[in-house]
Amino acid sequence: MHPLVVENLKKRYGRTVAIDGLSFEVPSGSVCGFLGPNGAGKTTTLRILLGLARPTEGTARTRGRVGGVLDRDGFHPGRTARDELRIAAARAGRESDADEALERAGLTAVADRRVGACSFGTRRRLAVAAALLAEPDVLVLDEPATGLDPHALRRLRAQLREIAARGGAVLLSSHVLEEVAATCDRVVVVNRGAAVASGELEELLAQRIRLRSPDAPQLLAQLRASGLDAHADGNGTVIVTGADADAVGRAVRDSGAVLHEMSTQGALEELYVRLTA
Amino acid sequence: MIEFLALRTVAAYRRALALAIAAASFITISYVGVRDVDQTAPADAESALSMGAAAGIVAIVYAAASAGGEIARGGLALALLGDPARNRATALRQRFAAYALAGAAIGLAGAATAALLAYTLLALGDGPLPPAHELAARAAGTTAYGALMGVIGAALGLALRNPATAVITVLVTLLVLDPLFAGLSTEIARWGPGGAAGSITGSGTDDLPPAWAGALALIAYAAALTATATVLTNRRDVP
Repeated sequence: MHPLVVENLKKRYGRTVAIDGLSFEVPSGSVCGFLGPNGAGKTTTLRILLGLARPTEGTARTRGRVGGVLDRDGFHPGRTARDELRIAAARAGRESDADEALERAGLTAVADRRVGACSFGTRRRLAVAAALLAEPDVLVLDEPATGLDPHALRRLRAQLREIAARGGAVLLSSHVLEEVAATCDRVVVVNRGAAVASGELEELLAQRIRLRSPDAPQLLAQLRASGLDAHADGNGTVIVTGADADAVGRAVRDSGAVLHEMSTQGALEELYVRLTA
Repeated sequence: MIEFLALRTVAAYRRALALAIAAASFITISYVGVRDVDQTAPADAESALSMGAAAGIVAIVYAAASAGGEIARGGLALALLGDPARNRATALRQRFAAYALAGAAIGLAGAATAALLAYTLLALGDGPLPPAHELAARAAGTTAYGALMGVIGAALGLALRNPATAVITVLVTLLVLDPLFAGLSTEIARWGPGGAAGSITGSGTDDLPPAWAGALALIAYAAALTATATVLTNRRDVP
């Protein structure tokens, strides 16, 4: 069984349907992005997974120790960052780890500052540090990248990869698509409470490959001759959809065109916009 | 104990203790007075030891505001996320225990302040000094009263999930509804929150039930409210 499984999940608030038959899973060793427009049901799904909300129908199961970071961190504004981590450590049964967690999160300088006086980004880092204290097998995060500077983002990415590397599973919702592309190996895209796409990020992104060449017309002709769905996209750019990188690479070689770039840059945004329009 | 330690890390707890001490000081000094203290009757001198009961009001308001505030800002969700068992009923029990301890500390602070001031004023004014067993009984009663008021306040805060609503409910019940209905019914006067408080702290009139009966009445109120808060929290989504 996967460490995180959502099956036919439904959640209604009165007449409002927040989640409508959502199903997906996150396998061991994965960092999975959870994408969708505002109101798509992402936060509600995460809260059900964390046991804070009850589903109307269906199930959301996790295996092992579960940690979470929500949109609201829940910290007391009058408590210091150090005290918040000490309390989190005590709740997790790891009293001795609070100071080490502060250091690991790069929060030693603000350890004695009241949480209410900390910036949003600092609070976010504190929330992540508190969640990681319990060494969770499954980590669920709601918009963890919001407010983080590049250093903190890089640290977060490494921490999430570490959890995946030791066989855990991470599910993170985000609107920062570049961050998802850089961090996740899987994605689930939801719209109006249901999954509209899910799977390996590489496979999904491979459906849209971007090529840049000074010989764009020559390249485009060869791609089409190879049976690929290609079209020009402005100055010297060609987009190939629905093909894998291997087939595109061979067509490029056969065309003899000079290639400046071959990437999936913008592919996730394109996919996201198409699926959630 | 974790949740009690968590309460102690916040200034509101220290402010509640300070307020309890200030209220007990003001009421004790007003009750004993500083002139003609030698005219004080022994029964009045003993009653002066119960003036720390004002701390009970501080305890219930503090607990209602603090528990209501915690759940409103997502603090209960944070606590549940940190707890491997993620059991709501356990999380609530831990909170009730924490507020019982905090309320007991507030009650004890009030009782100690009242005792210190009462003995000092009576000794300086050549008034009658209450016996030690009276001091022990009233201090224990006030401490237990503070603990029960802490639990009741926490239950209201957790059930209503809003600090302002919880505090207003407490104040309206204790300062308006209870005295109003106590004036209409002798039974409510004896067994309502005010009567039970008077019994357990020894600050009421002679026609009130004994202290143990008053304590049982308050325990019954606390049990009903904690059960209600637990059922509601189990049934509803945690904000």
